[in-house]
Parts: sequence; structure tokens; C-alpha cells
Amino acid sequence: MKHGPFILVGLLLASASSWCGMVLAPLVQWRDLQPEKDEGTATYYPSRRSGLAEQGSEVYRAMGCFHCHTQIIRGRGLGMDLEKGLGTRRSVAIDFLYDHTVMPGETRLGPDLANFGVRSRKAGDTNGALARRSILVKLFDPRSVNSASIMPSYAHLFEVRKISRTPSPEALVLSPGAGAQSGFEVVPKPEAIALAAYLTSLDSQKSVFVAPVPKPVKKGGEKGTNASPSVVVETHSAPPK
Amino acid sequence: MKGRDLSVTMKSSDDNRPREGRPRDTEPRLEAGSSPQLYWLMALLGVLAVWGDHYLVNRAADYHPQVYTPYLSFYEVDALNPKSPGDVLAAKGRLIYQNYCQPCHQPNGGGLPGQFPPLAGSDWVAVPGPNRIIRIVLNGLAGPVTVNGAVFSNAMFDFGKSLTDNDIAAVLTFVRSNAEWNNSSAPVTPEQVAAIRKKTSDRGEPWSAEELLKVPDSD
Amino acid sequence: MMTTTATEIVSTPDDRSGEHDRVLPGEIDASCRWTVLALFVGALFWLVAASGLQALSSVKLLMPGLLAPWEFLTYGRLEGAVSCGLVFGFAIPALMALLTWIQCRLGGQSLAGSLGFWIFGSMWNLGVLGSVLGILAGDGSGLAWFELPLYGAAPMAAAYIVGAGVLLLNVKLRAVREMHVSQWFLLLAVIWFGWAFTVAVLLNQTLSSGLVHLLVGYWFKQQMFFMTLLPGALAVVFYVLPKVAEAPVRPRSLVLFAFWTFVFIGPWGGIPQSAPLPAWMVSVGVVASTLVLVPILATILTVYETLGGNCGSLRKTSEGSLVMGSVLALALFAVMNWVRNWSGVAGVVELSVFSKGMSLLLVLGVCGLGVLGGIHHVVPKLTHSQWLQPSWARIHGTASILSVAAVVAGLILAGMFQGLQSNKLGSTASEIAGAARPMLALSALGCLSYFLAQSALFGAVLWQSALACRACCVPCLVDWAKDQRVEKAEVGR
Repeated sequence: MKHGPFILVGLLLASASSWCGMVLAPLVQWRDLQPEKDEGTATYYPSRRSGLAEQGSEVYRAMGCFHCHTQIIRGRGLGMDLEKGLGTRRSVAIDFLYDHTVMPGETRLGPDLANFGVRSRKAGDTNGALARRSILVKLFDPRSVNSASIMPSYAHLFEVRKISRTPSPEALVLSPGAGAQSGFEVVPKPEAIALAAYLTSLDSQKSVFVAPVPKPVKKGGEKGTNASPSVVVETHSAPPK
Repeated sequence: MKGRDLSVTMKSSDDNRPREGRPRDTEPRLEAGSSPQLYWLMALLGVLAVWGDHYLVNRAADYHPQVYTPYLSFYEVDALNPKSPGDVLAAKGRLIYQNYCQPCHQPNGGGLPGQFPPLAGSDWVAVPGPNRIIRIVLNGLAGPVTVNGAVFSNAMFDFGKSLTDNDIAAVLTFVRSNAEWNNSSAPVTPEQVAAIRKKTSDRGEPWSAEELLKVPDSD
Repeated sequence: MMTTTATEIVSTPDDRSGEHDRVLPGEIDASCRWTVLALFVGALFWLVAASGLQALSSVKLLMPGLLAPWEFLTYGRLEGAVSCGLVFGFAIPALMALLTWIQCRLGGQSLAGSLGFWIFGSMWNLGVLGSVLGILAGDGSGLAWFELPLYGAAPMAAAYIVGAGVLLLNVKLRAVREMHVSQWFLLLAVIWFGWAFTVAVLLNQTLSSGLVHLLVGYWFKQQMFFMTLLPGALAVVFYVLPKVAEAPVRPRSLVLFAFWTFVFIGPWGGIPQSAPLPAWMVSVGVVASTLVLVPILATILTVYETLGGNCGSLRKTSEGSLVMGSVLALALFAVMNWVRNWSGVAGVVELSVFSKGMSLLLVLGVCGLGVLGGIHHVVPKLTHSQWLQPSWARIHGTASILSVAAVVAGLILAGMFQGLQSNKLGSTASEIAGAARPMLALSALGCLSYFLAQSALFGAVLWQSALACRACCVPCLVDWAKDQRVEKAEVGR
């Protein structure tokens, strides 16, 4: 067989070396990757999602949301994500440690969602209920919230039904003109509630070892030289090396 | 349209017969030979490989899994992640050491025999208190000095004006507690530096070794 | 290493072992006629289906209210079905069919084991059907460009192993031992895809670890796009191009250099700057995407040398212009793939529709145009008749090239405008989408015309096959009927 074996051996070498380099090597490097403990609050990051939010991530996957929404914050020097306040630090591998399906996305036709849970929660919304309500309205009819939105409507995640004696406590409060005619109410199906729980759980703002979140220097401290780091950061337990 | 060119049995046709405007159906060949472009491309690949190596040396952070852009080295990341007040100072001190001290005392803290005294394992560093070395950094040192039994006769600049108390405490903490150099003395606090700076504020000249040895190493 | 390889492999011109065993082209075509045609029909069906869905999804981006009540036609699901249909439905089986025919012709052999290809074709297409329906129903895996659900991917992996195995067997059984460039790239594409696909199915769809998914997701996309679709297209290009130009591929040392440098550099790229991966992986990706410019430049120089500088000769035939379109797309892709990593550019184009434009440049441009060129070349030989109207073939070729150009240019420009707008402080999501809108409209227009052009091709291939079927069957039937009559007459006598 002319050159055949030679080509086969070459291909084997090339594919094996690139596999070892780009998949095996990082996996070996990460073999001990563990959630990091925040000494201040004694909490771990990342933590596992709640069961409802985990179901919501399945809805996120099934709907193909990742085709338009990323969950990646880029660091200093690449885009303006931090300057625009989309996050406090860049995204790193540990953010995806507990994801069953990794959906970082590669295109932003809608806004980035890496910190949607933080962003959507207004002051006073202690348990996130208001944030979940507002995202449900947006899912039902995106253009009732923002007329220029290009997001598809996910009305099929909701049930439009006749109001029985007492209106459902979960029914959406829609702006006039949007939603159902009078006498009907719009009630989210379990998928919609799970999706809202997932979206409002998205939070990758916590400082981690590899991407510490800077905090402003306290006033009246040292002046600092060009060599000194100009920020003070939260303390962490030693990460695995 | 109507089965033009359609032979009835579909087996005994001459495929090498040129059709109107169509190329002959002979299998393509590969012509041996070399070309000058090949050498240009090899040279280009070589140049790019050198560039790539340079790029990886600069940007790949020694293939460390805990370095993400825009950081360039693990020490940079580590410096942003203090674990205790002493570690904060030591991490900052490493950067100051690289800028101010490393040219003479060398990256490994070993100094240069006959020219610059070592800091790693030095008997001037490994003393309970930092009183003498704070003075050296503040005002400099001139004349002969015996370190680990070897005599060095050179001059060290004063850094009192260019470094703050916090910087000096940081770099001295880095030097004194550097486990890589087998040093394990206690950290230096900015308050200790400030006290000595105040005490020696009227001194305008470098110290000599004899003068320093008269000062107690700790209060 | 490259120079020693060159001396090892270059053979003397009179070394033509097996040349006398060569089967005649007509017999070769007869041996693979129905197998290859069936694979083509399946692949083109998926091309039409996927490009139709793509046209719909690109219009939905401009008119979000269109067909809103249908859950299975929401943008996210359409996109998943489109990527699945284009890559797994069209590109892979079409390449398999083309490469099989090319191997038989170059090897001077009749097709062996055609049953294996039938098994491959039917199982694979069933797998794709299950996957596309599954994605539309919400069973997609969530990994961009690899959204096959496990129940679709597993039979596809099994089917591929059968198909690739029979194809490699054919390579081994070839009568002409000397291998042409096309066969090198054929081996590269076929073997590499088998390896990458099975590994990705095993790791990504059975293990559930976020970090494995993250790495394998980036790795598989690079192996599939860069090490399968691209070399597959080159195998077709290096067969059709010299045939149309009636000139040998030359010089051998240059294309040998291109092949081996590509094999060793190509698989390391593909990590985008924005990936949440350590600095070293991103840096390795940047270096690989820069170094791979050399093999691609060598490939393009080979094409130039083969044509003897006379690129115009290709325009006479539709397959020539399609193949040339594929080569130009390759050049554009290599340059853009390099430029997108520049520090000023990456911050603008990352995380925009630019990356989708680049993916489609490879799938529809480099691979798609090459494969269409191959189909234009092969189908008339298999069906033993010219295209119904040669001028229609040329129109189809031109329309395909222009549509792909519109789709890709639209997305790439839209991505740039989108990135520039999103890097302005205080710009809202709808402003960012608005900045991209005019170019997305161009891309949608391209998608629509691409769909129409490919539907026409699908119809033409079906028609040609039907004609060939009639030409083959009618005489047989006539003979058979004659025999029957004679028999009856004999019995009656």
C-alpha cells in the first residue's frame, strides 16, 4: 500500500497530539477544581442551582435561548463588558463547574445573561419575586415591554384561560392592550416558572481566585507606587493548585 | 432534453470522447517538481513559528491553568488574592522587589559573589527584628559589610524617598518571609518602618555596617 | 521533515503500478451510480430543508412576530435545526458520496461494498431526521453546532463507522496505487471526522460535566469545521479543478507541504478570545490560526500554479466557477480567521453575528460551494446525460455563489456594526440589534435566494436520476417482456 500507512500514522500523530493538548491537558490541570470558599460570608462559589432553576436551564436549552444570548463576560481589554456594567469580572471556567449543559453562547442578538439574576433584581425585591414577574411578562410578550425588541414571544409557555371565581394569584399583570381579552387571564405554565427561576438565578459576580473583583481603595490609605496593586480584594481560602 | 447523450445500455460508452465545450474525462494527475515559492513559504512558516514562540512566552503564562487574560502571570493573579496581612505585603513586595532590588540582588536573592550580598539565607535578614534592614533600605549602605562570612564592599542606594512605608514593609516582608529562599522571619509592618523613618529623619547619609551593628535588631 | 517526506513520496513517472488493472470510467460510474445518486438525493433534500428553515429563521430575526404561535418554529429551535441539517444532513453525506466516487475514479476500481454505503445512507439520514425533529421538539443538546440529541447521534455514529469503513476499504483495494492529492485530503477528512464525532458523542452526550462540555464543545467545532469540512472540500477541489482546467496539479512538493503543515497546525485553533478558558489555550488558538495561513497560502498557490495563472478558463463550466468560489471562500476565511484575533478587532467582532458569518463562510462557502461543484461535475456522468440545460447549470452556479456571498457578507458586516454599537457605553440591546438590521436583511435575502437555487438543483438531480432510471430500466423491461413473450410462444408451441 503506497504511502497509505505513512499518511495514517501522520494523521494519528496529529490528531492525538492536538487532543492531548487541547482537551486532555486542561482536564488534567482542572482535575482538582473545587468551589471556592468566601471567608467573609462562609459561602461557596459556584453553588448548585435549586431544583427549579435546574429545570429552568433545561427549558433554556430546549428553547435554544443560547443562540441569541451569551453567558460570557469578557475581561479588561476585550470589548466593553465591564465598563458597561454587565459584570464585575470576566467569566472563567469555574463559572460552569456545576452546569449540566454548558451554554456560553457565541452570539449576542439579545443582552448577555451572565448576571441577569443580579441585574433584574431592583432594590427592595428581597426574594426576587418581582424580578421573576417582570421576566415572565417579557417572555409572554416581549414587545409590550420594549417595542423595539426582536425577541420571539414565548406565549406557548403560558396558559390563557377564563378567569374562574377567584383570579389565579400567579396570573400576569399585563399592560392594557397586551395579552388576553377581558375575562381571561394569562397564567404561566410550570416551564415558564422554572425558566424564570433559572434566569433570576444567574449570577457570576462573585470574586474568584483567577478573576478577583477589584474594590475601590479606602480613602486616606497609602499613596501606592507604580508597582503596587491599586486595589484591595476580598480574601479567599487557598485555591487548589 | 430528451435523454440526449443517453446511451441505451449505459455501459459501453467512451467517456474519453470530448463533448461539445466539455473537458475530456481523464483523471487528474499530480505533477512532480518543486517551486521557489516552497522555500518562501518555509521561510514564512519559520518566521511565524518564531513569532508564535515569542507570543506564547509572553502570553501563555507558562501554561498555568489559573491565569486568564488580561493577566500575564500567576504572580500577578496571586498578588491580587491576599490571604493574610503578611501575604498581602509579601505579594506586593514581590513586585517591588522585581522593580527595585532584583538588578543587584538577583531574582533568586543570591546576590553576586564579590559584588552584591545575598538576601536568601543571609545572616542580616534572618534576625528576629527588622530594625537594621529598615535603616539600610531607608538611607542606603556604604563601605565594607560581612554577610555569611564574606566581605562585600559596595554602595547601596537609599530608597527612603522613592518608596512609602507600606512599600518598604512589603518588600522587606517578601524578603524575610520568602520560603523559596529559605527565609522564615516575621513580617515587617508599615508602622515599624514609619517609626524608624521618624527616628532617623535627620540622617542624610548612608549607614555603615559598624554603625548598624550597634543598633539592636529588635526593640 | 517536510523535505524528506517529499523525496520519499515522489515517484518516478514510469512507476504506474496497477495501471493495467484499471477499470474503464464507464464501468466505474455504473458500479457506483445508484449508491452515489441516492446519497446525493438525501444530502440535497437536507440542503433544501435546512436552507428553507434558514431563510425562515433569518426573516424571523427581522420580523419577530412571524409565525409566533408555533412553538417548534421559534428562532432558537430553527437555528439548531438549520445547523444540524446543513452540516450533518447535507455536508457530511454529500462529501461521503463525492469522495467515494472520486476514490473509485482515481483508484481505477469498481465500487466495492456498496451495501455498506446503503446502510450508512439510510441509518445516517434517519439519524438526521430524528435529530432535526428532536431539535424542533426541544430535545437539542444545547451545544452550538452539535445539537444532535443522543438518540439521533448514536445511530449516526454507528452509520458513519460503517460508511467510513467501507470507503477506507475501497481506498485499500484501489488498482492505481499512486495516490492523488484528493485522496490524501479524503483520508484526512474521513478519518478525522470519525474520530472527532465518536469522541464528541461519547463525551458530550453521555458525561454530564460542565468543564468537559466546555472544552469538547470548542474542540469538536474546530475538528468538524476545520479538519473535516475544509479538507473534504479540498479533496473535491483538487479533483474537479485540474479536470476542468485540463492540467495536472502541480507542483507536488508544494501541495505536500500544504497538506502536512495543515494537518499538524489546523487542529490547535478554534478557541475564541472571549472563551472562558485560561490564557494559554486562547494564546495557542491565536498562534494556530496565524500559522495555518501558511498551508492555506500554499494550497492557493498550488491552485494558481495548476491553472497556470489562467483562472478565466474555469468560468466556462459551472463546476469550475463553483470550485473557484470555494477556493476564494477559503482564502477569505483564512484571512478573516487571522484578523479576528487582532487586539483591536477581537473586542468588536467577538460575541456578535460575525462568528455565525464565519461558520457559514466555511459550511456554505468553502465546503458548500466545493460540494456543489462536485455535484455539478458528477451527476451528469452518473446519469449519462448533460444537465437538461447547460446554461441553467451555469445560472445555478452563479446564483449559489452570489447567495452565499450575500449571506456571509451580510452576517460579517452586521457583526461588525453590532460590535461597534455595543462597545458604545450606554447602548441598549435594541440599539445594538438595530445597528445590525440592514445587513441582516441582506443576509436574509441571500438565504432566500440560496434556498430557491438549491431547490432547483434538487429538482434537477431528481429529474436526471429519474431519466437515468428510465434509460436503465426500460430496455431491461423490454428485454424481459420479449423473453416472456418468447417463452410463452415456446410454451404455446
